[in-house]
This record gives sequence, C-alpha cells and structure tokens, in this order.
Amino acid sequence: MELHFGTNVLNFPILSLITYIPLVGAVILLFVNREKTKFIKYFAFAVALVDFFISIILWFKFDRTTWHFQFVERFKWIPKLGVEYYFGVDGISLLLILLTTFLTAIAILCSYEYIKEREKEYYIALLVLATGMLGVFEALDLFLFYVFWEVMLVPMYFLIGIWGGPRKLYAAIKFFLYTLFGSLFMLVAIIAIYFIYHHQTGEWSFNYVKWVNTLHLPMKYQFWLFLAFFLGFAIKVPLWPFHTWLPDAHVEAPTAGSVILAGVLLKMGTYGFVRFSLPLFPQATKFFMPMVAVLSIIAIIYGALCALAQEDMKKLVAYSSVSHMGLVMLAMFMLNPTAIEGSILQMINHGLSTGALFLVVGILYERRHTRLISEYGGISKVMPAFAVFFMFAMLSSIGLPGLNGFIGEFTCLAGIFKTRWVYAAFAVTGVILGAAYMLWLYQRTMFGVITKEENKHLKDLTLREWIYMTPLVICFIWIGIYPKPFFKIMEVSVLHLVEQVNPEYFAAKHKEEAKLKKLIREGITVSQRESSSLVD
Amino acid sequence: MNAINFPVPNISAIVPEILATALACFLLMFDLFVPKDRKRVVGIAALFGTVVLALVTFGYMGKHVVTFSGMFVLDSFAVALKELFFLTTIVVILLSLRYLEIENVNLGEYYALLIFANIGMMVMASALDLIMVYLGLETLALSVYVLAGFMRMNEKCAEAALKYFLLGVFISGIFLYGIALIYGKVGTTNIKQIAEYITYHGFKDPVFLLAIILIAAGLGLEIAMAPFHFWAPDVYEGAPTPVTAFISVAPKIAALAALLRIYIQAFPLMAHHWQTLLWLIAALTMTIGNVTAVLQNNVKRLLAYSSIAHAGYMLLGLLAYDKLGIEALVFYFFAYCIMNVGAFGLVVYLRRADIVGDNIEDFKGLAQTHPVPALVMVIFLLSLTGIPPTVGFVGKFLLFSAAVKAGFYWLVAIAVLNSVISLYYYFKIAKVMYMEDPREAPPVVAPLSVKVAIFALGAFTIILGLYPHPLLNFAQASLKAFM
Repeated sequence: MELHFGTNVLNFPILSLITYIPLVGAVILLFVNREKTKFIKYFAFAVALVDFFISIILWFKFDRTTWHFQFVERFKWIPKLGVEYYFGVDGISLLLILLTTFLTAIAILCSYEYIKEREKEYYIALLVLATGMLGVFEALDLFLFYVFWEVMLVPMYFLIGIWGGPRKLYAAIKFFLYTLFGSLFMLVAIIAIYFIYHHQTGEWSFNYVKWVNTLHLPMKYQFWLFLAFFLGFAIKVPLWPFHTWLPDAHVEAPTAGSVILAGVLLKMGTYGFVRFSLPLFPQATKFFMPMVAVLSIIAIIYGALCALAQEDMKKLVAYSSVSHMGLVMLAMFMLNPTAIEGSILQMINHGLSTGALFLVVGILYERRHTRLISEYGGISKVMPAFAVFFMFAMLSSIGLPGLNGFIGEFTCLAGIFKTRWVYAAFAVTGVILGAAYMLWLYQRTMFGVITKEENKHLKDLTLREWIYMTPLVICFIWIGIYPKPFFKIMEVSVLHLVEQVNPEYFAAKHKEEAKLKKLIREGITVSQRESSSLVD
Repeated sequence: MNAINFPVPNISAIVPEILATALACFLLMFDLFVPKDRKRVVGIAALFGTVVLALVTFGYMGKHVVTFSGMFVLDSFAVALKELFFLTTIVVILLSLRYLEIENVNLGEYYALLIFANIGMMVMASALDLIMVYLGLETLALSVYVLAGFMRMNEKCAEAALKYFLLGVFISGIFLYGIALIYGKVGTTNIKQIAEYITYHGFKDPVFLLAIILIAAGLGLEIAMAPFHFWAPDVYEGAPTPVTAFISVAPKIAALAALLRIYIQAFPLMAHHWQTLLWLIAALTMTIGNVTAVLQNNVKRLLAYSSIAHAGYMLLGLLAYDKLGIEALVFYFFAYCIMNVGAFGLVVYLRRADIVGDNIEDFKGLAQTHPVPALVMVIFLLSLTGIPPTVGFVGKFLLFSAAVKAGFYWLVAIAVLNSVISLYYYFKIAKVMYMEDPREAPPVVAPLSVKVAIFALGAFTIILGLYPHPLLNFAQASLKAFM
C-alpha cells in the first residue's frame, strides 16, 4: 500500500512559522530592557496577535474533503535514529491550533494589570509555552511530539511557580512531577513501538503515518502500550483518579496560566488519545473502553459534586473542568463518528467557556483580591456589563441551547447514546449538576443585596477587558447558532479515524441501510403492483 | 642457542600518553620558573597543552593498533574516551584558573596533577590487560587523592582527601585480589586470553564468579556505584569545586569504560552472570542516589548523589552491551560530562569572598540578579533530568532504548521512576533561583574563563540536544572497536 504523507497546498512552511513566531518573539524580548514594561506587554500581544492571524490562513486554505494531512513539512532531522521533522494538520488538530493561538493572545492581554512584577520573564514564558503547545498539536513524528510535549512543561512550571498564589511552589512542582511521571512511561512505550516497527519492517522510524498504517501490534503488546500511553494522557486530561494536581495548579496559577491550562493543556491529553492511542491500539481501545467509560463517568459526577462544594470560585471552575473533560473522554471512547465529533467540538467549547470563566474570576480577583464566593453578592448592580459576560460564560458552560456548550454536549450525548444508552444516562447527571453549581455560583455572587462594603464601588469592565471578552462571546454564539463549519472541518478526518479504529461500526451501519433499502424497495414494488392493479 | 626475541613495541600507539607525560613533566619544571603570584600562567600552559593533545589524539580516530604484546590497544573507543578526558580537563582548567587564587592554593602542581590523572585514565581506556587497568587506576587515583585534598588547610577538604585515600587503597587491594584469582586460574591477565580460556574450559569454577564481583567492586569505587558510593558525597563536598567537577565525571567514566571492556571482551560468555549482578547494582545505585539526593541542601552534595544516580543510568547501557547499548553509553558519557561539569561550573561561578557557592541558599534569587547564568543552570538541570531539547534527553532516550531492546523492562521502569524523583531535587535549585528573592551577599565577580566555560557548555547542551547528529556519529564510530 502506498503511504500518503499529506500535502502542502501553500508550498510554504506555514506550520513552522506559526509555531516559532512566539519563540522568536520570546528571544527578542530577552534582549529588551526589563524597565520597558509597556513595550514588553504590547510587543508580546502583537506577536500573539500576528500568530493568530496567520493561523487563520489555515482555516481558509484547509481542504475539507480529505483526511490526509495538510500543510505538511517533512524532512530528516536525526537520520541516525530515523527521526523526522514532520508537521501536518488534519481536521482533528486544526481547530485546536486555532484555539491555542486565540487563547494565547487573550491570555497575554488579560495579564496586563494582573502581573506587576518580573513582567519580562512572564511574557517570555507565555510565548515559549505557546510554541510548545502548538508543536504538540502539529507534530506527526512521535519523537518530535514527545519533545514538544515535555518542553511545554517547563514554562508552565515557571508560570505557576513564580507568579502564582500562596501555595505556588507546591502546586508548580506537583504539576511538573505528575505530568513527567506519566509522560516518561509514554516515552518508554514509544521506544518499544519503535523497536517493534523496526522488527517488522527493518526500518527505523517514528513517523506517525507509517506506524498507523503498517504496524501490526498483537493484543499482548497493545495491552501494555495502551496502558503506558494512557498514563501519559490521562494525567494530562485529567481523568479521575489522576486529577488531584489540577485544582492545586489552577488555584495557584495566575489568571492567564489558568486560561491556558484549562483551555489548551488539558486538550493535549484528549488530543493524545484521539490522535495516538485510538488509531495505534484499536483492539486495546475496545478492550479498555468499559474501564475508561467508568472512570469518565466517575470524573463527570465526582467533578460536579466537588464543584458544588467549593467555596473558592477558581477551585469550582477547576472541578467543573474535571467533570467536562470526563464527558469529552467518554464520548471519544464510544468510537462512533457522532460521539467523536462531539468530543472534539466539546474540547474547543470547553477551552472557550472555561477560559472565559477563569477570565471572569480573574477580573473579580483583580478588583477585590479574593476568590471566595462568600465575599461577593449583588455584584450585578455595580458591574452590569461584567454580569452579562459572566452570564454568557456560565450559560455556555452549562450548555444552554443557542450557545456553543449545548451543541457540544448534545452531540456528545447523542453519540454516547448510540453506543450505550446506560452511559448516556449517567453522563446526563453531569449536565444537570453542572447547571446546579454554575447557576448557584452566579446567584450567590451576582444577585441579592450587596453585603460587603468594599463591593459597593467596584469598577465595571475596562476597555481592555471588553476587548478580550467580546471575541469569546462571539465564538459562543457563532458555534451555538451555526456549528456547521466546525463539524464540516473535522467530518472526513473523524470518519477516517472511526474506519481505522472501529470498522465494525460501518459494517453494521451498511447492513442496516441495506435492510432499510430493501424494505423500501419492497414497499415500492408492492405499492406499484397495487396501483397497477387499481388502474386495471 | 637462540637469543631471546624481544618484540619491538609499536610506539605510535602510545604517542598521546607520551605527549601527556611530557606535558606533565614540563609543567612541573615550568612551575619552578614562574613567580608565586603568577601561577595562572602554568594553568594556561596546561590548557594549551591539553588542546594540542586533544587534536593529536583525534588523528588516531578509526585506527586500531594493538601493541606491547597485546596489553595496550588504541582503537576508536579509546580515542573517544581520551577526547572526553581532555574535554573535561580543558573545562576544569578554565574553572580552576581563578578559583585557586581565591582559595589561596595557587600552586603549579595542581595542573601537573590533573595531567597525571589524565594519563592514568588514558591507560585505563586503552588497557587490554588487567594489570594495565590496575596501573592506570592507581596513577589516576594517586593524583586525584592529592587534588581532592588540595586546600590542605581546610578541614573538610583534608577529611575528604583522607577518606578518599583510605577507601581507595582498600578497594584497590580488592581489585588486585580479583586479578590474582584470575591469574591463578588462567595463568594470564590478558583480556583476550582470558576470553579464550573461558571459551575452551568453561566457567564452572566459582573463582570466576568471585573474580567478576571483585573486579566490579574495584572499579565500582571510582564509578561511585552502590554499595561503594559512601565516599562520594563527603569527598565531593570537601574537595575544591573544580576538582569535584573533575572527579564526578572523568574517573567515573574511565572506570566504567574499563569495566565495559573487561566484561565484554574477557567474560562475554559469562554475560548472564554479570548482567544479573549489574542489574541489581544499577537498580540500587539509581534509587539510592536519587532518593538520598532529595534530602540534600548542599548543592555539591546534591550533585554528588545525582552523579551516583547517573552512574546507575549508565549501567543500563553496559547491561545491554550490544551495538546500541555501547553507542548509547558513549553518547551519554559526553552528555553527562557536558551537563554535570556545567552544573558544577555554576557553583564555581558563585564562589566569592567567603561564600563557597555550594549552599542552596547561595542560589537564592539568582534569576533576578544574574538572569543569564540562572538560565544556563536551568538548562543543565533540565538536561540532567532528561527533558528535551537538551543533550541529556537524547542520551537518556538512547540508554532507555538500549535497555528496552535488550529486554530490561523492569529496570527501565525503575529508571523512569527515578527520573521523576530526580526532577524534584534538580528543580529545588531552579525553584530557589527563580521563585525566591535574592539575599544580601557580596556581588558575584566571575572571571571570563569561568563564564566562557559555562556558557559554552550550556550552548552545547542545547545544540547537541536539537542536533545530536555529530555526536551520534562520533559515538557510532567509536563502536568499531568491538565489532
């Protein structure tokens, strides 16, 4: 079989450009005098904005009719080991790249007032982080992927550790240790596959396309390899019971750190599953499906219950992430196109809405320097514009029809229902609880009488806050009302993925369709006969 | 009556050793003519001499000469190791130039001793005979004992030297006993002939088993592998920091290389036995090194335990002992040299007035007062942990690959867990540098030589991490010795 490594319609390394623009920006910032904070801020934002606009080219030039990789760059990097520099995107990763560049720009903009010390290092760390994250979504060589996967941990560690809250040191190292623990096992699994591939083909390669299309992994191997990858990705998602680093990291991280963490970093885990675990280990995926489903359901319900009990707003949003990511995981492992499409869209939705929620909490925190729910109440009276944005973010997170969350959750649940209705029944409780903790949060902070003296004179949104909240709300409404372009982008890729992992799905579907067609044909002939007999 | 026929040894193979000896002697003589406050000149002479040596030796890459009746070999593997020793020496000299003046022990013998230690290691790298290994080991050890105690007025330093000496002498006796056992059984100490004897007569005799254990013990001291690691933290802490950097890299690698040659070329048939032995030692060494490092607050001690742990990782390559294993090992030798000497270089960088620079407090807030050195230190720490894009990652990747290929899955799992532990203590230093405020202290006035050394090593760490190709090629070329 001829392997297809993808095409590049632009004949231009646009993916590398998108990936390294932030890095180049960071290097330039290294040489800027640290006193010039204003320049540093605007420069960092400009870099991120330019990067976002360039990434939009992908959206327009992307060919939606093929599942092959596009905008491909591929050449030898370390020939001795067979390592390639191989970048490419398909319908699954494209949206995540756009999400990353989008949220990076917003994260930089939201830090202008929040970060008051060592600004130079801060913006450098954010830009390096962006490079790491983009690389993860683009790399199609497992070695390259691993490099980006680890590189990205370092700036995040510093972001939490330097600019975080009171327990920042603990949170930072916990985040780093947890993720490294998982990813090292993944590294060993990658090495193992590397040797298996060499054994089977005589070629040294980490190339994703080659691995997926030519490897024949016996179930005995798939079992262990899946588990190793699972450890790496599940810690990142984070799936219950590996989630304990998340609330700590979120609570201590600065606002921008939380936005990036929830918006993009968690998606790396789910992206890893959909990109690598599923197509590389299809049998193991099916074998472990019930286990993952149960863990996801526990995550959905446990996360939601924990969120209900929180007194700290940020912690509440963090636990809601655990719950939402559980739904994403559950839908993904149902292995039918509807569920996987829903799961990918829900990744984007979660990135947008949880990002918005963290921004909202950050805006309040900047004004009052506390995140305790009990410190607030009646805020909508003094900050009406803010209350509107908060409402949008909250309703999007709950999944109100007309906003993005509804489309995502509905597609996920519909897909889950197709495979196992019992799972869907459990998953729905998460949605209900989600409405409970979010509405309750909104009610306690925004409505009622103003109880605290300090809250009476809070300033409403500034222009800068308007600027970064508005695009998010536009996205909520766009996806909520007209999600078709988003589904269109991933459709072919997802169908191809399901074909690879779960070909039985299509066989069953074809059988059903054939049966239906036969029935219709019989019906037609019967009616024709009847009508002809009537004419007679 | 036939005259006894003495074979004329092929001198060309030992040209590097001869030149090194000449250099050391020259330095001793030269030292006599240099006034006391100008001893730095001796150091610079040693520096240039070492660079020349490195260039000359490099010319022997790809050659394979066996001489002195099969006692001595100059092959690519030996050349690669010698280059590594020279590299270490060059950096250590750069670190020492100013350091000795601060410590007020600015004596010319220091540099001569460094070169003598080099000669010992060069002989070890080329030895094809157990006696040669022993000779090299002793030359090395005697020079290093003196170097370790070079600040003789300092209590800690004197203690370190004495500890090192007593333990070293004891262990070298054990090593000699191992050699004697083999000689008693086989009648020769030549590595090739031992292998032949075992091929024909088998290794049923438990003497062989005892011998390989004793040999591992004898070399294990310099490797600092458990259970012979107890000296390391005290000696590392007490010795002058540049010497610590030297001890933590060069002798360790020389001893590991000798162990590799002995095990692979003399006892290939007993692989199963020494693999079992090394499996246990590797697991123990890694775990003890890493777990104990977590508790340290002195950076030199912390790096001492980390170097014990790294010896454990390197044993993975020895265990695999196939093409990939040795290649990974040679690659890791270089990676380890670059990053570990670099990390000690930062401690030297901080040495000023009455601050040794080895207390973790001395690193407080370094990122704010000296952002560039702090960044370089983070690069070394990342590399030591094995996080890309650094040379340490590529090295660890190769070692893990070799071990996975050879089927040591459980050992790799242990190594992985150890790497996670190591992240904690390495980043303890990063944490102090970046997340705590600087404390009142006299300003750092690092000389240019130290800056050049650490920045060059930092650059290498990143460049070889992103583009490991040249070093991989070099490592692979050194393999030809065993094919």
